[in-house]
Amino acid sequence: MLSKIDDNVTLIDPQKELDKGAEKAEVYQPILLEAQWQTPGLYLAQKVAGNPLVRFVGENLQTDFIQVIIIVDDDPEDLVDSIFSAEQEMYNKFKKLRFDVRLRVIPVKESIEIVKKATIRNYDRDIFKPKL
Amino acid sequence: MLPVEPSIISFLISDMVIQEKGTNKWSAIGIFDKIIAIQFPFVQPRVALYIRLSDAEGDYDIRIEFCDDNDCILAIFEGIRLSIPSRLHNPDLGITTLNLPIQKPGKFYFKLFFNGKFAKDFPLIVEDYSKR
Repeated sequence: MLSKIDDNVTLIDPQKELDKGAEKAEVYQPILLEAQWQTPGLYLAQKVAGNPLVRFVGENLQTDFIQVIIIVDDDPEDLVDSIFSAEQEMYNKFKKLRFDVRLRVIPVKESIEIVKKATIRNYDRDIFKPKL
Repeated sequence: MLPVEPSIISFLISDMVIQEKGTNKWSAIGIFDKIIAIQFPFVQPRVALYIRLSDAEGDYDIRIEFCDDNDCILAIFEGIRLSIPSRLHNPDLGITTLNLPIQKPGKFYFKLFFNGKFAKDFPLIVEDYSKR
């Protein structure tokens, strides 16, 4: 198996390849185009993370299902409405994908370390909140 | 007038894309069309895409959907806008994407859309290492 792969390996010696006096090529990575794939959790985070009551948004990937977790300090009606509105948009956007949104209300004094374990952490207020 | 529908003359999946300053030449490093994973689900931290078009003229919003073979949309990449002055150009671009979620082994597709219209899909095979 490996011998087949070895056939395609090309070894390049930079010292031999570089002509004398030639300047080293300058390369850069297209950082401006570097971005995350939008998943249901990221979509929800983009919609609601501006709300100061939102503590955490994450996704638990399973082989046939995605669980989106959102943890908030409190659940006033306008926040719940915006979460469910975003959820409806997510169902339209991610056609056929099996996922649900779990909303957890955990008072700000309580730790959420156990709850916020997720495959993808889309938003964590402890990391993103501006330092005063 | 609606822009003409472009042809895709190259679509590469790789570990990294870089662009040389001055010449603007792109290089794709670590080109692949298959991923072999030890455990599922997982998140592929970095996937770079290189796209080269021809017969394009006008403004294009590019959207890429990552789907499984049941047409289930797992992730979306959007927000890229290309302005192409004339058909004499064959524009190309490289995109470095982060956190591609892959739930299970199978055949997946990167589906390209220009201004919301489906253009073409490109496969990515994902295999389970334990079943090889």
